[in-house]
Amino acid sequence: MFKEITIIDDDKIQVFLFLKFMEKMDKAEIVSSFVNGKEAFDEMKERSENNASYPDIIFLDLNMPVWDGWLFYDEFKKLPNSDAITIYILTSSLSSVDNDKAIERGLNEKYLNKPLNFEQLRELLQNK
Amino acid sequence: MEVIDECLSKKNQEVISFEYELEISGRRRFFNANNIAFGEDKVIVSVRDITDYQENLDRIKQLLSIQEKQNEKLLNFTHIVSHNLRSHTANMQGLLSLLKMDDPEIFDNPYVDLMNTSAENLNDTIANLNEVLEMTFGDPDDKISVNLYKTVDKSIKSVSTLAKEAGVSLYNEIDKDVAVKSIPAYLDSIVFNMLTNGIKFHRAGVDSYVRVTSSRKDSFLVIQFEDNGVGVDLSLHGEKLFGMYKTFHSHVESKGLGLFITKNQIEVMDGKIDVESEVNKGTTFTIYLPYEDV
Repeated sequence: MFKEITIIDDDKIQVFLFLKFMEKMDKAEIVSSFVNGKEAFDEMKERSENNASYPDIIFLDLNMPVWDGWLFYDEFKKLPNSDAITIYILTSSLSSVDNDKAIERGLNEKYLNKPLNFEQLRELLQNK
Repeated sequence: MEVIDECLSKKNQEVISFEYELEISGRRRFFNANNIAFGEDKVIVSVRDITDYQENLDRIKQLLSIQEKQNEKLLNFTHIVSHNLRSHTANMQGLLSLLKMDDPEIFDNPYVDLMNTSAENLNDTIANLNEVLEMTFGDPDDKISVNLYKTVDKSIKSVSTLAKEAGVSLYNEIDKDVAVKSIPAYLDSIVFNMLTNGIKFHRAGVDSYVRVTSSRKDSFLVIQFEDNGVGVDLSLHGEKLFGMYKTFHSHVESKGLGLFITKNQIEVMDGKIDVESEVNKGTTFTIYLPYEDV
């Protein structure tokens, strides 16, 4: 059982789906969501300053308003102890530019294309 | 005067050229001047009016810059379109999968089942179109040296189940040290498409095969994919064979994108593709890629 799994995505339906999947799987005590990278980063920064724990796993969308996924990723990585957190990119982007950015950051194995189906998600969390 | 002094100071009769512009009768005119020393104290100056040349050059540069900007805009636009469309289809598929979990019987209703199929097809179509777009904007400067034998070997392994099911033998007859300058992802995709094509269009009742060979011809590395499959009537379909969304065999699942993508990928790498085919005999695709010492 994970303590907390987070999804950062501006798409309400995607967040709804994710929360439903997680509810059915019953794999995490808390499932939190943020609507863009900035909102998520502010929360993570505050936790870092208060010595509160980060989520165990973050599912990160790329194309979002305010702060996109890449900006969140790069800024979050600068926070202390963020290296221990697993981040999955969860995007509908098929752009090779995003793909290249993922490779640059060593995320090739953690780059997921939407739609993420129930079985995929379950398998992913089982192997963690 | 400076130029004249400079010319005279050169011992080896070097030509000094420069361009300048003048306003004559209200119009800007461009000139090219060549200066060369003649004897100890003389300089020959020849001046050419290059206004037309210069104006054409400016026009071409301007057109090129507009073209580049439009290409960039188009690429951005396609990314936005493909991303936004994909987000919606992904949601649709996700919602349908939830519905299936909560109420599996509802999928007995053909409307719901067909809706599901439509969502899946839409997703596939967008993915395919995206592949076409990415390829159209591929950069030939990304070419690196790739071992052809290994590339073919890797592809053969990845299609081995498909080949086995269809009863098609695959032969990699490329010399182990043949390398080719190419965009690796494109070469992978070309070989994969050629092999799956050969497997898909095998002929029942014969020992089916796809044979891959390579050779040098003039300035090209030639790669051939030869099969003894169903073949295609080139007199009927020849011109359309490499077109988008063209399919020629109704019994095989085919989206009509493979050869279109393959041809474009080859052309981005300055190569070309030819085909020879005879119905019920087989097909040979010949790919020419520029040979460079690698």
